[in-house]
Amino acid sequence: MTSNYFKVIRTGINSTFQDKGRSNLYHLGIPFSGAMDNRNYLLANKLVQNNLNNPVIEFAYQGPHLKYVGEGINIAITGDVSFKIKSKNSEIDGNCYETYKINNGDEIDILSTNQSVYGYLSLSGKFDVNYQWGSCSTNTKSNIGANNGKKLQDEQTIKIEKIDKDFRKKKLNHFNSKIEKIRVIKGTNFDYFSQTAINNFF
Amino acid sequence: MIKNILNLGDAALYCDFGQDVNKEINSSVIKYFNKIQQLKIESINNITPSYNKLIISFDLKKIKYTELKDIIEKIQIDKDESFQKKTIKIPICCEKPYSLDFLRLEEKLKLSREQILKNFFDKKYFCYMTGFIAGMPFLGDLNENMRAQRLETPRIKVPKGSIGITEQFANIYTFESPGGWNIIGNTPIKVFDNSKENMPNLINPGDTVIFEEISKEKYLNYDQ
Repeated sequence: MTSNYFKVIRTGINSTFQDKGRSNLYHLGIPFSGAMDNRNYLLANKLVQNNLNNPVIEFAYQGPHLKYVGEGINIAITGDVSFKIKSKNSEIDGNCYETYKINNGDEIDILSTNQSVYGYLSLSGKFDVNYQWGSCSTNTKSNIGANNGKKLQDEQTIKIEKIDKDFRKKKLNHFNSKIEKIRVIKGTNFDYFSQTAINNFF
Repeated sequence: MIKNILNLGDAALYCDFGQDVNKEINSSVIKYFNKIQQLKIESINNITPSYNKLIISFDLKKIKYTELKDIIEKIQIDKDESFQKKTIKIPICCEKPYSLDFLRLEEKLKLSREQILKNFFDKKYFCYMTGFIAGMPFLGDLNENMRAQRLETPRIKVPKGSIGITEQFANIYTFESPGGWNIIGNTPIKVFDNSKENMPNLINPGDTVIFEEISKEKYLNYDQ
């Protein structure tokens, strides 16, 4: 029985497991959770040909540094992220929206997110995480979801199950859509603001 | 009953039951909440009851605001309709180091320690809603002479299990969290248990809570 896993060398600032989140629990005080940047989350799973609701690692500002142990696996990173893939004899600067095959002993060092706050790491397999209310999304405030509801911890291992051995390279020539106009719907407290404040806002 | 339905953004309905905070209005919110839950409308993502509002979030791809509004407006609630309620006893210790704000409360309320404890424990509390953090109950109503403003500077970390009071309400911090309520004591029991997926909250809207004072010794040896 082979075991495939990541060893966490550095956790990053806010690295958690996320999927689409859990609904119909607000009345208990349990929020939706789920990936913050839905588009980049979905693209991460699509690139490695996963089910779109597969768990990914979400990170913000500085991501994790991970060492891989196990059989070859495809990974992809989405967002606007600087990262390196270190192998025994080489070190490359990775491109987002592109799959890379990594092998036993390789390291992924996610240095920083740039124009996007969040970034996503997906792989052609499934992180072995626990589910609560149909979602693995980690809620650190109430300790719900994957990793016992906690951020990634130093030195921990992240087990991977069910590796998909289709290593075809996938690449997306992706441009983040530019938001030029933010459209606004009036809120229920709109009348609390003075006409001057409303004029200034718009 | 619902006085007005408005849109809240593009994917939620805001049902307004009025401005007052009282058992009668809140019970009406809870009855609507129960009824809508029973309908199992697939396009609804979340139904969130509060003191006097009910917010229904929906999936824009599946239903339109006007369609959902029609469904909600047609719901009939029988005035005498009742819902399941429990009475729950919550043990709390009001000794140091758990009663973080006792001196502050004595000063704010101009009452002695004994009077504060008597007023607090003589009361039965009604659960209006849960939220802010998972399973945190908002309980009421404190006597007029027990109503204090929030702390001027909220704490970055309120310990798990803390019981806070502010204005007419009491709450229980189910997790360590930032917070600005006056902390009167702490409970050793689990008020939110995420291993129970069917019923993680010990206290639910409509329930009655009775607080029981326990000693520090009993607190430390408390068996869940």
